[in-house]
Amino acid sequence: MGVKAISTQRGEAVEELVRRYQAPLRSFLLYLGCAGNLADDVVQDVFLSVLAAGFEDRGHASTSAYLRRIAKNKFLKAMQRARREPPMKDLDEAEDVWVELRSPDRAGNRYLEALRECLAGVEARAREVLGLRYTDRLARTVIAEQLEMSESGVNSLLVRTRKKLRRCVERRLAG
Amino acid sequence: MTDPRDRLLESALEELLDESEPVDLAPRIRAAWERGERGTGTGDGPSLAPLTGSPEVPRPELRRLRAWPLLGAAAAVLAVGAAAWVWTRPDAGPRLTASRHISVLRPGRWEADFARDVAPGDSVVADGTEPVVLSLPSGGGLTLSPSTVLAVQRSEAGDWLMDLRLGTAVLDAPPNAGLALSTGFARADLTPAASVRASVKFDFTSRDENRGDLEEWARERLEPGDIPPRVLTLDVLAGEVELAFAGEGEEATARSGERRELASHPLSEDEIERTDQLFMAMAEAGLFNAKGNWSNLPDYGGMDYSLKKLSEFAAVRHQRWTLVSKWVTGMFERSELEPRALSRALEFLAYDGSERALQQGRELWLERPDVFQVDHILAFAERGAFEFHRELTAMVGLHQPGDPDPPILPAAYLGLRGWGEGLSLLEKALDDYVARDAVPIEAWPSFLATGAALDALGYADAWGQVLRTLEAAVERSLAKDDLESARWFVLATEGFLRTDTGDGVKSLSFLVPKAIQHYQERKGEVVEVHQIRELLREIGSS
Repeated sequence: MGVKAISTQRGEAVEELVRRYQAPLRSFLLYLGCAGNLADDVVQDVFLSVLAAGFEDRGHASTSAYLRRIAKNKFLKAMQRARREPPMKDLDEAEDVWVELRSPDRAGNRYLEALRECLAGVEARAREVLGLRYTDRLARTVIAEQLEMSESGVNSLLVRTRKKLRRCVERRLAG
Repeated sequence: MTDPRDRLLESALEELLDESEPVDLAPRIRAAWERGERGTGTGDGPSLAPLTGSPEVPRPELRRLRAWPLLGAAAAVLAVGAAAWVWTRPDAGPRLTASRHISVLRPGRWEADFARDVAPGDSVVADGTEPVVLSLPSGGGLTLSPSTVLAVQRSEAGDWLMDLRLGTAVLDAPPNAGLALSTGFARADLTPAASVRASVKFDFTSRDENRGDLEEWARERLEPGDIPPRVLTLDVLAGEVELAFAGEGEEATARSGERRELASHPLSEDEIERTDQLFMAMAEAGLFNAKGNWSNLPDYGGMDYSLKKLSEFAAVRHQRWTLVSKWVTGMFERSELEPRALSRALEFLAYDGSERALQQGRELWLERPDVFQVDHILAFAERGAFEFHRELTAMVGLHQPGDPDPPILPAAYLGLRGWGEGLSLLEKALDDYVARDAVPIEAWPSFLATGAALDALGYADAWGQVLRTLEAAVERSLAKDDLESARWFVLATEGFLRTDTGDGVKSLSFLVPKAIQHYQERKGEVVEVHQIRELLREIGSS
């Protein structure tokens, strides 16, 4: 494998590197439970750190794995500083799942495509709740108020819908 | 603990259904790299790198925790002006000629021209330190003192009307034609060959009546909600002048050697409206960013007022944002502008709640971080811009015991979000506050922030200490019959408790102005001692 060194590390090269890897790295951090604001911060820190350490591009898969590892450690440190627990206990296991199903080097965008197809089959009421939750980012209490439902009703509808979606996506990926 | 596959679905839903534009971090990271930031290491390096400077590329130190210079101008009306919106300018026709180049605001143009010809509909600002003469085509003319602002108008009948908004002008009417002077609240028609000296100033003294210490303090820090009256002083140097005074509907004749003083008081809605429009006209014409204009404009703290007005206009009329944005960008592009001007532009961006203002603030941060102050940084961080969050973290991380100006608000910002980096700093700050005989009025908002942050970090008695200090401060004030201070303490606390960044966290940006604003809005409803105590009880039980 040829080693392509970004020896000059000029501005253009920095931008090019970031553009190539930022989206999956940010997605990975959000998946780990990193808030958006912090995810951007960690992504920046990761790139600056690897550039400072003399970055060498060893191909997409290796570089992605390298960046993910650093991002994961930085996320953990951030959680420790904030005295918070990450949503998932075993981050190595979490990374394995990510690599298997979401990594651009493995599953590519198949997971998102499958999810998009499965969403089309979700009933109207559930789709409305998903939209309010994930597009409008409303709190469950606000959704309940808007749709004249109880908060627990919103919760259980979300849980049921996500279960169905997960089964649907995994079926499609297996098929 | 969450099943990774459930979490994967959740995050995929968040990604798929999120309709906002994806963030491109490349320019930001490139700028940080070129600025000398090197990250916190790929392994077990230091947990916090200095973000505001680097060994390779020195950057100006941020000015930290300064007072509130921007919202603060008490006498705060810049009133330069040009009623360019009133008249439309004909394409051709007689023009005035200036004795030297001055800033000319043409209707419908973004930038002020640096020109000598002035047409009806134009407004002029007498830049520089020397007077400028505007000659009328039919003879006669005007001599403008430096910093005078005047709009030139012409009626269909061909009469010249000079709308003097601020400053001093000597008007010499042509021998065979009339010339009129308008100020918005008064009008003076000169007979042929008459000459007058007219001066329009703000009367700030009229706003200083019956104000106690607290009121005065608040006023010094609050943008002006009112416009001080303007006063026209008219000296008739030759001939006669017919005066019409809108304020009282008076008419009179003034003759050579006479002096008249007329004030725009009480202010009419029209006067206020005209002043508001003035700022928009100025921004639209690019006056603020025309080369050389800024430093020559009369400094009445007016940028503060204009920013407030621009903010209001932009909030109500979204199409105005284009011009505001252009104005701010223009200021930014002119690197010769002093940091004060940029900093005031930032005030607008930080105050404005729109996404565009946030983006522009982020772009400015990449280029000119030196003009950002803590209140700006807090405002942008609270709106989710991570680079500002980083900066606040760095401020706290770089602080050493004994350094002057401890970053209390940045520490409180982190504390309210569960980050304990500034814990010792907050603990010490709370101890210091409580140890004082009385927390000063101006420090009260920071005191509240400190208590709330420690409370969020799990210090059970932190907020209790705040409440006990509040009660003591109120009772001490009441014992001295100082209702105003007692009212301030409870209302500032109530105002603080009502602030929210939108995700349930107390907002710390513009803390002092917000507290003052809340105080101003509510003080009429909390008048009596029993009302103050009742509010105190409500706060204690909330």
